[in-house]
Amino acid sequence: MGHNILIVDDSATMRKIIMRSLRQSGIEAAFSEAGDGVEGLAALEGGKFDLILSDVNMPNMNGLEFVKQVSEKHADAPPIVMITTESSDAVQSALENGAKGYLKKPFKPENVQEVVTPLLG
Amino acid sequence: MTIHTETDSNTQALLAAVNDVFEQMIGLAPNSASVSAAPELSGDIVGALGFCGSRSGLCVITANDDLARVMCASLLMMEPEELTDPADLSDGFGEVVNMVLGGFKQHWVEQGNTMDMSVPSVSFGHPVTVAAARKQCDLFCLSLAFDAGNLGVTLVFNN
Repeated sequence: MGHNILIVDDSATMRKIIMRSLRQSGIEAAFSEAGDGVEGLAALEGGKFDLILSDVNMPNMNGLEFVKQVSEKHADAPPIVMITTESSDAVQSALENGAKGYLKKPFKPENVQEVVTPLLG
Repeated sequence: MTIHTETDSNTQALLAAVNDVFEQMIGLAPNSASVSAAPELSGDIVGALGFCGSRSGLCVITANDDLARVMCASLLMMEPEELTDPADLSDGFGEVVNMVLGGFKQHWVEQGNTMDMSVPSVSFGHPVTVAAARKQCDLFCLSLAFDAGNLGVTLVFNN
């Protein structure tokens, strides 16, 4: 059975790369896209998602604020944040805000699979 | 204009950011990489991304058409011959510039600086040249050689 995955990133190219990485990994899913946290929350109001992949640095509402609101209002949709550094501060901040995991950018396709698969069950 | 030819921490961080993007997301390793004594601000394809913060400036990446197609096809998980839409080439190359400067930004911020990045712009031509180097600026220039051609990476800090 396919999953519903929401990808939140202000780069359309990066959203495309993530979708292709997941498809290449054999993950069957219907993908929805949002360009920032505000659009991401709107998408969550209109649909049910099994997983969210969100960038951190975005206009209007950044990824940390987004996952914080997701954990408060949509606890059934586990968010993964994409961070550009694995410094303990960045990871801790993401997890404290409600992220269930993180993916360091830049990444290989197999890195996406490693992070996503356990949360899809 | 000051061109930094020594291997200082900024140059090392820039090279590490380039290598990280190429290794992780493009799957290409350069045959050689060196600090250049002159910026490469022209190519068949030029991606530029401005920034402001502690200092303002520009990150410019240039490549010949063959290398740009190999890079972007790999990044977008396509075959080079599938890259028939110029928008795919533009989007892919712009994302490379974005990720390289994003990688460098981590080093820059760790030094106590700030950096806000614009969105990348990509130009095509034979060749296109970016007039980025002012009289008062610091330049960090890299030259990387791949089988499909050469890549130039220039980081300009305005003074």
